[in-house]
Amino acid sequence: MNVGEEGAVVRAAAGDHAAFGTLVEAHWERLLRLARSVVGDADAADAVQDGLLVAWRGLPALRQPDAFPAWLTRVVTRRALARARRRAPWWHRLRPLAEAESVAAPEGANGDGEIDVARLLAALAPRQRAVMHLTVIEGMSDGEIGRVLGIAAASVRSHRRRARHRLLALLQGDDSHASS
Amino acid sequence: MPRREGHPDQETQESQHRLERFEEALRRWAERPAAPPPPWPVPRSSRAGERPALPRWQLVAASLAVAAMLATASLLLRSWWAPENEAHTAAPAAAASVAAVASADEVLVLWLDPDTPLYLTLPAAVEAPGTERSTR
Repeated sequence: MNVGEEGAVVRAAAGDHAAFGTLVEAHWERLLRLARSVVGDADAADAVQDGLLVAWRGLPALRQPDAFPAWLTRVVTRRALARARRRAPWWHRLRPLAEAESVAAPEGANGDGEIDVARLLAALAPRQRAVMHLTVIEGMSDGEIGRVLGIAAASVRSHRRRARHRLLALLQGDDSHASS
Repeated sequence: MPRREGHPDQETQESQHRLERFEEALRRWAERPAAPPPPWPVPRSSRAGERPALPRWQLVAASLAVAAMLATASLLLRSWWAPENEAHTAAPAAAASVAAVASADEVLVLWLDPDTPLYLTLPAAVEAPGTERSTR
């Protein structure tokens, strides 16, 4: 985070809308990508907007301006997760995860052999999607992901292991489909 | 010596290869161009493709209907409630559960849920001259 952005955080915390606008522009693309992974394309922009509103209200309480990017990521991720959970039908939450995923799991690849990432992500639980995105795209450590999601690093590893297990099952099924 | 098909090492390698393919595809997928941010803040109903907000008269009508239902329920509850239980009704309502509390300087921050901080500015503690705080 550069000095200019730290200054913008301080000004935005004091109520400067323009400064907050520059912060939004600087982080929008990264946050939108994260939200697309967690909640899907259709709701991603709304999830980011929700998070930005929460961030705007909470910014005066942020003591360390250099912590802004991580804090903003945390706020937006949690809003996206809440939105993803609301979108899931309530009976999906009651079923065991594996069963729910196997019902929701579509084929892993398009007809042309290209991996259909959106459909594979949709077969994962929202928190597993977030873990995969933060691991693969943001390159965060388990500890950093744990702080974003409010869970222990060991839980992060567990979510990632289950996500990979699920993805492998879907990808293997798809490969055997393609070869038969 | 050539490995038999289905050997654990080979399966592990294939699994690893599949996951790497997925992660590569995820990177490409995530890097699709994103629409620029709307001017901030944006009234939600002004964005294309979104359902317009309810007309104001509908909101007012809905609010009145809810208020009437609550008032009726309250009257029914009072008439049903036995006088001997009156003492219980006077008990203070349970406080909203607080997910986390942090304080710094003179500001107390409560999170009623993980995403909704509530900020309370506390007055500075003033001690009367000559009084000593007990350590016990």
